[in-house]
Amino acid sequence: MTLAQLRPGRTGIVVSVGDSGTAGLRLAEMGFVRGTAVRCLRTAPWGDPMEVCLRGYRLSLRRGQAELVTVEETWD
Amino acid sequence: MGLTAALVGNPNAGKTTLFNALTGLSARVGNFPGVTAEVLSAPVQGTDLLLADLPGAYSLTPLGEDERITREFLLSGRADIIISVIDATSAARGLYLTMQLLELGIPVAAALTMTDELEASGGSVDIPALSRALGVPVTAVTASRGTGLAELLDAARRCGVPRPPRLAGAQERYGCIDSICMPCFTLPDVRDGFDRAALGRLTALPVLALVLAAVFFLTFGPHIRALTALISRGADALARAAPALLSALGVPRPLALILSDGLIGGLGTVLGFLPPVLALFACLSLLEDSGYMARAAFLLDRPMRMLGLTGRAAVPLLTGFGCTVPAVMAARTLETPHARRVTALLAPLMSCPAKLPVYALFSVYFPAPAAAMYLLGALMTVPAALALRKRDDASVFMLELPDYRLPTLRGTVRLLVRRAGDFMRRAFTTILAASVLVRLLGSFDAAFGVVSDSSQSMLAQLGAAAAPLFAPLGFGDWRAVTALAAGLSAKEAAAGVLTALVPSVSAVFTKASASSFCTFTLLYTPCAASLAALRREVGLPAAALAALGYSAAAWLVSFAVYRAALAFF
Repeated sequence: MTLAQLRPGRTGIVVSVGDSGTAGLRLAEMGFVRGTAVRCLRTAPWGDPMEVCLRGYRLSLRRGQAELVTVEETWD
Repeated sequence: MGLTAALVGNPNAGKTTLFNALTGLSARVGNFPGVTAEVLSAPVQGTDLLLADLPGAYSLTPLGEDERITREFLLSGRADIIISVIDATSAARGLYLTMQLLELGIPVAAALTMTDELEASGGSVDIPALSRALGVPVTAVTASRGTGLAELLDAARRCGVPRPPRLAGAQERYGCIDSICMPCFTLPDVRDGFDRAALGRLTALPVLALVLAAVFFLTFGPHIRALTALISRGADALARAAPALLSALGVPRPLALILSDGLIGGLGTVLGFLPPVLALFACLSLLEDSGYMARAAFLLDRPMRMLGLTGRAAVPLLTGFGCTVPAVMAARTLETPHARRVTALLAPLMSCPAKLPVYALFSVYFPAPAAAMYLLGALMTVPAALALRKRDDASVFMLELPDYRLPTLRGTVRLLVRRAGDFMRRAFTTILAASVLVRLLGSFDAAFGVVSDSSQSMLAQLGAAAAPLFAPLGFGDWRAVTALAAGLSAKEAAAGVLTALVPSVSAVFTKASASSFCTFTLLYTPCAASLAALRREVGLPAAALAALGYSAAAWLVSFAVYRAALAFF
């Protein structure tokens, strides 16, 4: 599934970032690399952007960017 | 010694607070040889170490303007020492940049900020271990309290070139950060308390509305208006007393009039803008430092995207409803040069209160002209924004939501002093020129004799000459045009001139031409103060072009409104 599909409260492990351009590079540099645990905290009232938590800090991403990150949901 | 140290770190990591704590108020923006952009720099108090505050960056990869400037500065050889500023509450991400800095072959010392916050939320960091892991000296600093500064300077002086980590790419760097650096930290659980209210499904928008209302009240409320009125009255009194004084000194009367009316009047106008400008910047600074600004940007990002902007443009734009000048200046806080330019250019479309007296004159025809104009202005931002939109809109929007923190008073005051100086310097010349010109034109006839009846003045003659241009809009009357011309120096002047020249609005305007006149007033060239602010943000050629552009757009839209109104009324 993509990060955009991760529902609030759920955690996923990053599998890959599917973009070799600027967007993908930026995502990787902000910490979205293989094996990273990302938790979705919430989305804005209109569903976009979404706020996630990784490595102890929070980031908000637009849906379009979140869709570039493939994650595997973990079941706690 | 004469060395230069560069402060490098993420946005919001506390770089600027640290910079201010070390350098005091002496910071100047300027050019370094070999570096194209202007960089803020100042000597560290009591030393000859020059400190350069580089823009916040997440990495050295030149994906954005700020990264490009940082990278260029560091590669130019201007920096003898690098101080890597890392926010302890988002250390993993901050360390990414640090990893890149270690490879530059320049001595590095690390400053760890917000350690007090980390500890307050239940986390901790083993600094000696982190120092060993990175291979550079790490000093915890609390800039607001001044702790750790001496140790940091000491470390900066003694640090050597670190052993480069030899990592390629984000995967390897984060691998190193995760395995070697992060074990030095104990991370607390992410604190979400406030955000459950600030960003909760049901509460987010009411909280936002409340915060925006508070900003509006603090910036444009009665206390600010009182201050501005006080300044205006002071300037007026001075302007009234001055001619007699100047004549006594032997200054010829016409010149005395120009000096007192134009010069002092102009000064009064500039100073009158200071209270709202400072109040707004104080509010914006508080919002930014406390962390709420990021939440507002998060909530408003989706609607802002329709304008080709990001959420951060929302607050500066909305401020335009209070006054264009601080709104244009607030555009400076945006992330990219393009966003700053577009937001600054859109701000004047938000109907400013100075135009209200003009709309009010036409209330004989319409029940609520102001409301319609506010709406029209807001709607006009959409085509305008789309016209200014960048073709390759690959804007990567990523926003960090920092922990909420309490802003410091010292930092805010320092910022305000700098902003005030900025504004005064730029606005003064433009407003002065416009003021003097308008008063000159309004007080003299073509033979430079003083006129008692303003219908004889040069301004009126210019108005009459330009009047035919406005005939297609329904108000090709010299009185209407003269009022518009007066509005170029200050929008309130338009209402004053119109009232003076036109005893009854229905004598000159029909319902249809009233609509088009209001529309023109809404959209045409903003006041001289706004133009001065615009010039500062977008440069002289763009501002001049924009000044013409607003009026051209105003003409076209007013024409359309007039024709539509003729059909309806």
